Amino acid sequence: MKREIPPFTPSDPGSRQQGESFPMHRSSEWWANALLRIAVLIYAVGLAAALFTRAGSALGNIALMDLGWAHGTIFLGERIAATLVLLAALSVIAYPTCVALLFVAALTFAEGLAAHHFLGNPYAEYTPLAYALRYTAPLALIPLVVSKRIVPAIRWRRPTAAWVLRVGIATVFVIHGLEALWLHPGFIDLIIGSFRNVLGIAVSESNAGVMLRAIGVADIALAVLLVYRPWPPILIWMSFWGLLTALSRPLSLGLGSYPEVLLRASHVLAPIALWLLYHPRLRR
Amino acid sequence: MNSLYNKFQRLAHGCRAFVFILPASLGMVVAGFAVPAAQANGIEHQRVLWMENPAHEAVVSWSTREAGNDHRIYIDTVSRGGDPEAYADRVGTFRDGAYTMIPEDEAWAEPAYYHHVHLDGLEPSTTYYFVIASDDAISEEFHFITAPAGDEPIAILFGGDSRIGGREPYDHNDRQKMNMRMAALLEENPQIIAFAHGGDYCQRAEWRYLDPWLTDHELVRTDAGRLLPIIPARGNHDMQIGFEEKFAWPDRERDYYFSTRLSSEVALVTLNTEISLGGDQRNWLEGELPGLRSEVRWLFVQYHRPAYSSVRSLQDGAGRRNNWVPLFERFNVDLVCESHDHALKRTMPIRAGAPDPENGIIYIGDGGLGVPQRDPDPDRWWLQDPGFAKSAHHVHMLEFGRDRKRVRAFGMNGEVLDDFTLTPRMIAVE
Repeated sequence: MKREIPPFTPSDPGSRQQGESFPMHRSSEWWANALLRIAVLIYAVGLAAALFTRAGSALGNIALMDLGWAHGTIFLGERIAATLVLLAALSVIAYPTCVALLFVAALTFAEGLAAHHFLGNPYAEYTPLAYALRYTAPLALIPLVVSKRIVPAIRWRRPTAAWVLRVGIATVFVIHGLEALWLHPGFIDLIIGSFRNVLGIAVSESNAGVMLRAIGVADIALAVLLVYRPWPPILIWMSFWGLLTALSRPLSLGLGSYPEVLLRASHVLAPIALWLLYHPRLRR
Repeated sequence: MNSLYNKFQRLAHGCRAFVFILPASLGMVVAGFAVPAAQANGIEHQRVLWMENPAHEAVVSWSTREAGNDHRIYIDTVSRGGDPEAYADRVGTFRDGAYTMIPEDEAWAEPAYYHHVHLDGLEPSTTYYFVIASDDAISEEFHFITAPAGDEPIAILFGGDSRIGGREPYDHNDRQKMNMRMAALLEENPQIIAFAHGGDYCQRAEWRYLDPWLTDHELVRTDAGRLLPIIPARGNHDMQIGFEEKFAWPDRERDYYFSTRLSSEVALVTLNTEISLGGDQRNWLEGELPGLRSEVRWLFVQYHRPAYSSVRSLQDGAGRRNNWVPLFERFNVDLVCESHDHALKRTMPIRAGAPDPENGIIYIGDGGLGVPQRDPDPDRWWLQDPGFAKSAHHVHMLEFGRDRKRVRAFGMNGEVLDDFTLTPRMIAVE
């Protein structure tokens, strides 16, 4: 199998030796690192916006239905959790630590598992996979920011982060592609609503279904291609598509859906970060 | 691993049955609660389903623990005391089968089989007496009353969210209490002709949850054996195949959205919030409402997820508000019944996203047929006086008269939690 990760070279600022200087450049790894931190922060803001406006959580639903907690306690717990995630994400911007990143990733993964258990939404059983980028984005940051004492082999940092992101992006595209092929009713309404509100075009449910099937095939094909080789055009398209699908929420349902866009920040920024990780240099 | 897990589940279930269910059942009997028991003759879960034309059509359904070969009902317009040979008609099933079971069900529930009989050509406002027969087993006599074709005063019960809390499918006292409240209302108010359920019957439409729901539903009947037909909406926890096995209708045209003519002057539109809101369903609604509005005095709607939540964020209802509410307002729907949030609410009259005391639409419900209740947010503008919201189990009784419609919400102990009246709208349809 072909090795797709470009080897590090002395010209790569990410692996520059002491004494070398690239005053006009920042390493592509630096930019990837920065983008992922921003993605985590935007996600945390979206989570706080959702939970403080009573969007509710699957973990909260389990606490209510399975554990018999009082709803007031659950709502308080959700706000505390959202605040902690927001503080952790803010700390990641200034001083990233494994603990903070793991906390964000673990809580997000737990929410996905809770949705899988609780159901209540179409294809909710696949939520842990649909949320993959929400927790792989902070996980991918860990090898980029972790102390050299913990991961001494610097040459493994970037490939590890890149592979975590590749798996996360591919997973999200495969699951959303499958849900599109299965004609997720929410996706149908996003198409109908966005076309109606933005273009003034009435799309029938059957035509929306045709579009969804095409989208589903494209999503899965792109995910497979990404795993095979992370070509830049694929990554740029994935970022654009992540932005478009995130924006389809407010375009279809109104500006009140802005938390849904923020929660999907990693869908836009992670493909760009991955592209940067595979390219040795980005000029300022 | 799965096998080991299932064995553990069975063992745990056995222990729970011994240490919890048995004493709990004894306790409830002592306390005066009725505990529905499996029928000695093997015929369980008797129920009647209404969809579009309840003056002339119904589906009678039941369950058995054995597949059996010959399933039918004997029916007449006169009580025959349960003697099958004495009834005027015998009607066979249009669908029989095993309730779908998944491995998780096996630890909790015994397999069972559904049977559905379609009754067509019924007479309006008529009491139909019937017994159910599966092979040699014969049920006691039950009866239900068809909807009127004329303008008689009628009432219906409305409620949603009868799924129950707890980790186990059998922690369901609150649902039983609400079912007994509905039975009491039916005894006291014989003009009640149906029970519109706003969805979320149980935790999932899987057999370990459906079985106790169906057993509990046996409480919603009078001492004389009158069954209250269900008009079902589908909720977000009803998406498994068990829902369609529970509520079957022959040659059902649409995915559980339909209109029901409860009398010549009352129509109920049931919508499905779990499929596309803006596609075929919206087109159907846009085509259905003008005709109904021009024909009936009282037009109301039920569905599961709310447009105006009492608990969750306003944004949660954006899809309903964008796709359906403009049609409700255009065709002057009288009342909208919602569920899902686990609280009791009545909104202010709302039109175009703002209070409109003169022409607005009131949204009621939010679900309280046994589900653990949440704390609503009373500061929302749509819940201000005369609207309100509170955490309380409840069922609504909607009474349709010639000059007014009375809406009352009853709590678990029969207390009146809400009471208001509506007058017929005199606004012309566009």
